[in-house]
Amino acid sequence: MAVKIRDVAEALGAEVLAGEDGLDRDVGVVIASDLVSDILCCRDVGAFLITGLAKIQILRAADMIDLIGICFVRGKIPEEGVVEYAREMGLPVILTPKTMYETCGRVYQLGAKSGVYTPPGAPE
Amino acid sequence: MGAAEFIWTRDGVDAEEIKGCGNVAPAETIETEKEIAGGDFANAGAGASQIKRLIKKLAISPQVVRRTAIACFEAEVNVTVYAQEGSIKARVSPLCIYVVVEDRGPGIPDIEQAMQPGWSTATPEVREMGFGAGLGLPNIRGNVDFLKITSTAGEGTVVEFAILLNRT
Repeated sequence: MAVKIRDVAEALGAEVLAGEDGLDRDVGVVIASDLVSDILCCRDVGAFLITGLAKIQILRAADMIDLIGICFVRGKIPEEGVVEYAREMGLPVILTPKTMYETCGRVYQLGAKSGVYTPPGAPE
Repeated sequence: MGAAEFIWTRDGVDAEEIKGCGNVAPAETIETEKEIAGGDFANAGAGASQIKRLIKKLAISPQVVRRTAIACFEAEVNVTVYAQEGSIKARVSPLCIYVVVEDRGPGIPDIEQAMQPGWSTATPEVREMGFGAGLGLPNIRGNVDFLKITSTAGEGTVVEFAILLNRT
């Protein structure tokens, strides 16, 4: 059975900050990074992102590659405007106090797969 | 001092086909443009969003939309990070999406070097925002079929790229 964002939030003891309506989206592939360019190297459309970068730039990057949801780690309170922007986008954003390492481990245990990372310059 | 130039075409892509993109009658094209303010990180990517929204409405494959969006985003972020001001302009024709990103800024002294993954002159502040990984230009090249960079030290940079619509 597919893992849903709702399941991820529960496993991580995460707070839902935005996009409540999208919590039943399937988490197919996951990427984890604090670097915008790295995130944009994900070849999958519709990935779920785990990041410690709770900034507006992440949401704009998310918009570019149609991420289905984002989890901010280490209890990082997003900077001003992030939650509002996510709500406008209808993008589920959750916040967990757990570290990046533990978050990735727990989401992996739920059965979500890793996204395909395409190094820059690699042919499509 | 002359301008430095870098031109790259994806293997298997016909340079003539790219030239053809520039010779489409205006009636057959759709254009969109956005100004970019240097240092305005809150709005970095707004132009790319605008372009993405436009092409998503057209009958263009999701892969092409994604590649265009990523290339536009990286190019726009470069202007925000390094230049004083600039603009991003996209022209969609039946053959391709042609994007021109112009800025008034310091220019790129060595374009070949800037094309190397990992090469970056970004400040720690910029890196804290998740940028400056040195993947911007390589990431643009990775997603487009044609790339041309023209840069003049102390004046600015023009990054042009094309994504053909008939390839995935």
